[in-house]
Amino acid sequence: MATIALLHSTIRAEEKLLLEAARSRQAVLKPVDIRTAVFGPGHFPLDFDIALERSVSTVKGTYAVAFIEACGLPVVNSLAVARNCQDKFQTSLLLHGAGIPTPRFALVFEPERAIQAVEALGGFPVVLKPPLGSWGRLLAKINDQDALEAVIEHKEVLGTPPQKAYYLQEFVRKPGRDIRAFVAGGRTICAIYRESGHWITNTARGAVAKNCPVDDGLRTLCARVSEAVGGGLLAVDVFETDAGLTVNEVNHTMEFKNSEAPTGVSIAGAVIDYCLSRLEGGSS
Amino acid sequence: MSNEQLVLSLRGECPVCAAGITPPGGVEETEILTCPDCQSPLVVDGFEGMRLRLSEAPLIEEDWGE
Repeated sequence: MATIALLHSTIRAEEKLLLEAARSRQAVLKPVDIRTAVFGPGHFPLDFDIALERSVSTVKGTYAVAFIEACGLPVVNSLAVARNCQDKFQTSLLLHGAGIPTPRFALVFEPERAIQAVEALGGFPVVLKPPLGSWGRLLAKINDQDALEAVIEHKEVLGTPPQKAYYLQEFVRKPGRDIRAFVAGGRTICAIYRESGHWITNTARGAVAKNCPVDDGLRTLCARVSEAVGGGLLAVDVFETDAGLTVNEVNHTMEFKNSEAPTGVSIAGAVIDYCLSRLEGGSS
Repeated sequence: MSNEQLVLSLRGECPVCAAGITPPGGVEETEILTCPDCQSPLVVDGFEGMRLRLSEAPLIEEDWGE
């Protein structure tokens, strides 16, 4: 029976669903609280076949993945995928390089350059995001130059160094929703609409999840995204625009507790199945 | 005693307001619970028999997410 190490920090509803899914698949899911581990040669017990990284802390999760990969054991998601997805600028570069539709973007370090970048993006409004961040936190829709200067001044004075890398993105008008597609090894297993009257459509910010039928267009787009970032288990966030689908972000430690009921798909089961398939030599 | 009865027998005390806490279902170590009285987020540190060891949950940090 295969043993999967569940690399976690706090246990969320998703991890409980994963434990339940593993039990029904005759797989052993061994919880490993990475906050209490010692990641050094000879200190960390490598008593599992594959690791599944589910840490709510991106920094801690990435170090754990780096260590276990260096020990020669497979991890879902890989270090390369984690790095490609956790940094929005890196993700945008990969999507752009692969010719995948994505909102226009730029990264600057100085307030004066931010104004230049906005002009290059087509003018206001724009969205200012921390390159490393999640759950829709610290996003700012900037409608004019006064707001841009004010937000950047606050970050310059109050922000940590990572907050002083200014990732700017073209503001995309959405039809009151976006799409989140769940992808395993390039295959889209299901998708939800995230409906909200607010321009931020994260379910963590109150958006409502409804089933989104997966058509060929979404399926093909997500397969291309998966290839661009290195495969694995992904949640791909997609905007519907007049010009077609465009990819906003890609998440590598996806949350899905609100998505199983509307889609009728056991995403936790698909995650465990994907880990087991990797052990059988399946694709990345 | 059934598994369900065992779960219902688990009890802890809120470290903030001292309210008695019975988790609604299966509970895992490091899981976050909310105190029904004072609404403080709490983390399950472990189990001592049928007693839950609880402490105040960590605050959300800058790198938390998915």
